[in-house]
Amino acid sequence: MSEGGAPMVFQPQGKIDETTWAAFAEALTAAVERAKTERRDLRIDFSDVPYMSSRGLRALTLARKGADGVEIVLAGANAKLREVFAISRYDKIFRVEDG
Amino acid sequence: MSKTVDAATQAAPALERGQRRRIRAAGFLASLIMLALLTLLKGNERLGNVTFDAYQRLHPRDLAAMKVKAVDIDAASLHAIGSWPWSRYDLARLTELLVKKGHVAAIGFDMVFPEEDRQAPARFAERYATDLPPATLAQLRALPSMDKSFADVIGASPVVLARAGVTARESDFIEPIYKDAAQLPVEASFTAPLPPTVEHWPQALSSIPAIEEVGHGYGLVNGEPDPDGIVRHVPAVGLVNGAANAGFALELARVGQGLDALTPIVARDALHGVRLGTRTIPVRTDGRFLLHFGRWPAGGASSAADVFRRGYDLSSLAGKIVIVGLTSGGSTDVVTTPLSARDFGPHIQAQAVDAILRGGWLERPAWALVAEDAAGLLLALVVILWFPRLDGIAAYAVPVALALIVLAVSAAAFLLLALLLDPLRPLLIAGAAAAATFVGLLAETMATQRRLREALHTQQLAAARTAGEMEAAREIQLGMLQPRENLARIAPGVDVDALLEPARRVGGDFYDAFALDDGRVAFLVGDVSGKGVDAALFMALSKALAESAIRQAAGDLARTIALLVADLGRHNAADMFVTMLIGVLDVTSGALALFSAGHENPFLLRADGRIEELVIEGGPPIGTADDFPYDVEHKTLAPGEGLVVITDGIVDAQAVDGRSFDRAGVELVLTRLGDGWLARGAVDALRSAVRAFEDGADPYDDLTILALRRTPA
Repeated sequence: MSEGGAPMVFQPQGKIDETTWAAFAEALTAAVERAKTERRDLRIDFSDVPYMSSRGLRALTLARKGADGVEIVLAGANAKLREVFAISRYDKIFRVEDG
Repeated sequence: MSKTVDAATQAAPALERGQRRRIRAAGFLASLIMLALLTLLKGNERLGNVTFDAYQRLHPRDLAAMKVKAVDIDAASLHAIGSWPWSRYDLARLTELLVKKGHVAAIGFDMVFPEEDRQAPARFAERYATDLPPATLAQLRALPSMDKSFADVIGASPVVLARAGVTARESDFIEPIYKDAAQLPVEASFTAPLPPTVEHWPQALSSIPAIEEVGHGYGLVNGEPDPDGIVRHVPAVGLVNGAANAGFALELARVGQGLDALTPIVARDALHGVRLGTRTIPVRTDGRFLLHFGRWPAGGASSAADVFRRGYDLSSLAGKIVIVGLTSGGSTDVVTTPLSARDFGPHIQAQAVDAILRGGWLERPAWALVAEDAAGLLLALVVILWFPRLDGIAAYAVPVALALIVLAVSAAAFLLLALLLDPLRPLLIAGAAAAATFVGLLAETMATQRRLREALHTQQLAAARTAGEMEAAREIQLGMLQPRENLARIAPGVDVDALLEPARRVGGDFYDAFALDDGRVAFLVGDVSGKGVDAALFMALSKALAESAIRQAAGDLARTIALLVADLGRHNAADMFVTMLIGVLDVTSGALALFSAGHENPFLLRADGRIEELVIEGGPPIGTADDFPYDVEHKTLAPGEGLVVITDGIVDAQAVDGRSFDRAGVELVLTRLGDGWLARGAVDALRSAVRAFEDGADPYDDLTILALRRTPA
């Protein structure tokens, strides 16, 4: 779907856990909607997320289901997050990038 | 929620703008209504009198140095001279004595002589016309009238005579002496005409012409009380048949000071004052002036009997203005004043004359009402603007302080300037605003508190519902699970145990283990995302579908996955997902088929005690990507080797300091198990270690462990 434009960057701040995941999910859904409208891909930059629980995964799942062709890239994840992506095998349904 | 509880238990929750606006509107409206009410009911006069009378009672005028004396025709006088009315001869003697021996400055007779002397010799002759010889009768008739003697004395003395204005109604039954009121003599020379605001009468009751025509002055004695029966004022001037007349007291003051002119002070066609000599007495527009009453002093009056008594010292009367009046028991001239329930009319006139001479009047300025209303509205405004904003003592201190200022201004005006400014009217206007504001404040506060209470109640209900829901979820979750005792016996050659401890808030883990028809053993551990009843139901569905899929596929995991993804996808309306690890172990061969949907990798416990992570390629949780091509992976479990499968509730378990238990923590526990470990021992050891690690903290997630060991050879 990407029409040559740079991917939209969504950069959550802080850890995503039981208390914050709902807000994260809401913001993420909004970002996906915007990316859809602008026909751009979405790059979620996890540089500022020290920790994410399985609640965050649920948000990613919902985002993926609503993506409707927008590719969602998980970027900048630290080791902890990469482990979460690995355990949940989200690295198999999302593209995970370093930068 | 705790925030709401705090707010509800506070005495006065903060008011919203709308509420404050409503309160202020109520306060403002109340002050206007009070103002309208006071104006419509003409409450001001009566209301003001309450205060003004009180002021006079608290601070009466000092009459000790009165320049006026009363000569009372009292009971003793009647006893000495005879019953009233006295002969004009006696009155003439009294006048003569006061002037010649008493050296008084002026005499005012607070009485009218509307008929001829009852003891006139001619009258006597009439009465005894048939009893006395004609010669005697002729002699009697020839004697001069006592009225003539009295008139002679009056003519030679500074005497002021009383006259009473009568209304058209009264003149129906009181026969005026002067049919033509224009003939009534006036001695005072008014320098300007009186404006029409002045009280006027068509006629006046006067003395007979013989007496009337020789007076040095004539004054109106109309001392009508206010509607409440209290005398607060006497006329300074009045109009009789259009002619300007002085009030009795003013006329007496004029004659006593030997002055001629009375100068009305008129502004915009209304009378405001009368000037006599150097003094200007402020009067109401109707020509009356308000008295500052004092307590009648001892020695303020002499008895007429004493004046007649030979050798009696009359020096106390010298230079004084005296008022002769009737004060005997039968006197009808008894009035009520702000200071006294029973006072004699002549004494009031004496006070009035003294007030004119020494300055003892009170003034209700023309601007008083406007000032009072303005002060009231201003005060109301302060109350309205400040009251809802202030807390505690200030909310009351500010209005009370302002009220005290109003009282102080009113009292100071009375004491220092003899001005009558009513403090009650502004206080009532502001008080109405304060009352309405207070009631409004109370009502709005109560409404807010009620709203908060209701919100709290709703929240409590919701919390109770949530608590109930959690309880239900836990029951659903635990009800789905096999008891641990069953697991140990599911198949020979394999030792299985599992444990699930639900967290308080999250429930979605599950496990299962059962033998298939061909003797193989299937086991599974899952974790549903979400919490509450939805998660519990999805967990129940997932577990049931998983078992059903495994049995339907007869242990073929590839088919199992296909069935599961299809079934759960179909039943997953709530967009939930579930991680799952399913294994099928051939107990006899050790062949192990594994499938992981986003689940934690299990721990492989080698026979030699080494702990390894059993890495499974797997795929994402079921429900996240229905089209994902899951693969089944095949391993082998040697005799004595085992697996420990967990959920993220274990690796994510947190210590109080925030550290998480991690896979390393699990490995450490499992390393310590030793050779002859049992599934149950592994489960219990791991559980204890996690709980000890958490050190009593409320776990965030369910804790689930499944351990399985192929019986050593």
